[in-house]
Amino acid sequence: MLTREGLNASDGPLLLAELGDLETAATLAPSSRNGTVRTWASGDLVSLSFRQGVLVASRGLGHDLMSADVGGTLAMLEGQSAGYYERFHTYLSGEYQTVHRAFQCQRSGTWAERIVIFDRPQDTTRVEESCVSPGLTLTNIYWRGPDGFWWKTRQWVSPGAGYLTTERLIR
Amino acid sequence: MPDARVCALAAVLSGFSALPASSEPEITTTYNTYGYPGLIDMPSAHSRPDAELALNVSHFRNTTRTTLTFQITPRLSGSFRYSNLYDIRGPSPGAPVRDFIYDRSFSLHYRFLDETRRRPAVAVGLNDFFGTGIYQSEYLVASKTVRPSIRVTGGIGWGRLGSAGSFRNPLSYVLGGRMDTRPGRLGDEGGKLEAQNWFRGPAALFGGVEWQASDRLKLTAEYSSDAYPQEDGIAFERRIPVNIGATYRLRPGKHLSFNYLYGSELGVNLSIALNPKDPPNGGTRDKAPPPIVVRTLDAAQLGWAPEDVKGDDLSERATRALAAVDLELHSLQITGDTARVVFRGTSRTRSGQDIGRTARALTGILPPRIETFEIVPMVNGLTPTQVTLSRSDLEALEYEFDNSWSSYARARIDSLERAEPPLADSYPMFRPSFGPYLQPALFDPDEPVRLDFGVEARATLEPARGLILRGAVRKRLVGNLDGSTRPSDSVLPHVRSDFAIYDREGDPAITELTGAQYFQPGRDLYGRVTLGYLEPMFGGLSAELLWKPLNSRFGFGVELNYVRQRDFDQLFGFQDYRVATGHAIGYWQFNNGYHLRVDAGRYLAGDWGTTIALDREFKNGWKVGAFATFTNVSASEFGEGSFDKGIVVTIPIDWISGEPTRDDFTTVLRPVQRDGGARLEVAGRLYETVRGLRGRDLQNNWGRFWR
Repeated sequence: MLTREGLNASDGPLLLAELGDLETAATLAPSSRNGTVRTWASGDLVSLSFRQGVLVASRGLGHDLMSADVGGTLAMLEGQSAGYYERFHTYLSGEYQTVHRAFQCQRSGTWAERIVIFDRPQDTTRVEESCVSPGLTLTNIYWRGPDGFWWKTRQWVSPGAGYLTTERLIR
Repeated sequence: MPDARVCALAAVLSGFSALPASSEPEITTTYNTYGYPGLIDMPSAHSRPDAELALNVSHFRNTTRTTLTFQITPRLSGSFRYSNLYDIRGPSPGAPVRDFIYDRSFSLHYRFLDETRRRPAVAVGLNDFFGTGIYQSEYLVASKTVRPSIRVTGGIGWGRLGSAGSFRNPLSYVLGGRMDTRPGRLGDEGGKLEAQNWFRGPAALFGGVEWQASDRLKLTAEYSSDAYPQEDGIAFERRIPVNIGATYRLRPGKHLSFNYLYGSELGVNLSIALNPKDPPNGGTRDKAPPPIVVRTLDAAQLGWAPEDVKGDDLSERATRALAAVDLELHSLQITGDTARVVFRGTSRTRSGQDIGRTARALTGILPPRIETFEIVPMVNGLTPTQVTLSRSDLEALEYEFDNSWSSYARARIDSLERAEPPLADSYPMFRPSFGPYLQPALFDPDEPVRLDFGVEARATLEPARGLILRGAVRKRLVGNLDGSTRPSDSVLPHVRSDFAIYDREGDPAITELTGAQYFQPGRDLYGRVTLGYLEPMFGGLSAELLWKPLNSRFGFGVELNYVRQRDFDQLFGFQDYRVATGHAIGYWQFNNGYHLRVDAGRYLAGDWGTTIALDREFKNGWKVGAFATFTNVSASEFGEGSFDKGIVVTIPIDWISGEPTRDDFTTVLRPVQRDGGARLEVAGRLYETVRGLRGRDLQNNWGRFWR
């Protein structure tokens, strides 16, 4: 059972990840860094990779996000673009062939919000991103601290895995 | 490859306009009581989704049909049917009534026109075209979806489908009076392609309406042109030519129908379908791979200091790193800035992933100055292929959007001229295993399904590179395979037809005890010599040579065997029968996933001939195929069925379980097992051993390189 006391006692960054559809949750520790992409891994070998807070790959879920081009999302989060932009994901089909999925996205809302992560309140800016693809509409949410740190996100992974919620337990 | 992003975006934009506007449930195509796409008893023109494999069981009074149907292409489906028929007349008028017969039949359904706004879909079909003829019929059928939820079907049938309300064959007006009569059957053994009957004799019209009442419920009414000439009045009463039915979708791919047939009988029809393209668990849940460890100027960050670059220590680390991804290190050599690694443990469909994981593991242990990875997968001591990767590419592409394609484009894939030299300390290797087994025997007239369940101990010992000793022992725990008492009536040497005696007396049985040497005599050339108890019924010597060029869709092999028949108890003794058997074998991979194998040579009974085997192969390891063997044994010598033929299905275990394993399960369905056209079974044949590491298969497997 995770508690704030327990978290205070542990050292090193820690990420809590939850997949609502698959009804699983795990804590992940940093496993590697490649350029601006940081990868986190759980004890049972599920890994999640983020480019500046935005999910670009998952492994070990079964329904994995194989790769993603999130340049538009990053520009939107930096406030560099307004209006529509594209987002691209790749997955593996049932025959393990690469399939592409494209999304049309836009920032659909942003406001200040105080969130609580294990008893610790955090002032954040909440940014929502809405994306559409044939037969699919999704909303990703990013909560950023005043210093630009991504405290919490809710991001869509794949049709099989659904949404992933991450919270930074220890910076 | 054009920019994938542009293509994907175009798909998004075009997708918006294609969304359905109404909420009316859309009609679904389901299987009829014969297990092919249709109404209730009659055909319809549409098809089920490409690659679907369905088991359909239908029952009404005195008739049970069990059908396996495969949607071979988007337009063509093929069915194999096993029917239990009680109280049925013989085919000719005045023939006596029989208490019970079983009947096996094949069907083909081909949709040659797609439905458009103005035009119906149109299909042609053949039923029981080389069985014993009970269900022999042909049809031409059109179906039009008049509203999203309503489909109307009409067609014309010949043979059994032209037996009620029939009229003069309209083809007679075009092709002449010879189309007025069906000549009848050629022989008593079945199994002949009875093409002389097709579309001949009287014809009749049939038709019906389907209404999708809700997303899950479909109601159907049809007018049948089948008079049930052999059943009417005995098996059941055919009072009216009209059937009605309700079909309920239990789950996607599972349908249950209740039908009221011919004004007298209630029938039930259950179909269960799966699609090899759609794993039930969304693919295997492989654990996350080790990350690419990017080189930095600070070598200490690798947990590695320069004085560590001692061969032995590095090999040990590599062994551990590969073991973590379920692979075995054979050897690791470093020359200049190149590391050459040979590993074992990959399979036909997982080679891309295993090469990727080996590369990932190497980035974690090799010193920064190593820039080139030469990765050589080894199977049964053979090293057909070398994949050369640049470490800088791996680092740069790990999270690139197009990394699958880019990494394949930048990899260098070469055919190796000879086998990798062995390293002394990696031998001998011993791999024991122990587990359950399940052995079915189908279509015995006395008991259509028999099954044995037991335990099997297996071991593989590799005392030196490419020398592989294998053994397997089985002990039955429960089962009824020994219940078959029908003696073989074959006039040929009993090379297969005594299977029931083998099943009865082989308990425990040594199913395999062999020594095999694999070798690579030249570029793209592979060899095997196997000696021992090759299979449950034969032992002896088997030698094979295969030519499989790296990037060719073609392969060619020669296999020569001299074998002697084993004792029924499947221990160490032999019977008197000996035979030299062997084949020249051609392999051809079509572009769209079909695979052709043609064997020509001498079979176990000493007969000469040819086998044609056509498979549809899926890139996840599924195979669904059919084969037929034609030899110089005549139909009457061969006996029931006239020639050897059957269906082969291979299912990868990880497709079912979702757990990462490299095993698969293969089952051969033969309508009848006789002695003509029988081929020797040998484990570890070359083609399936090396093909996963050759150009096309390797490219197909590359999607998993980054997994």
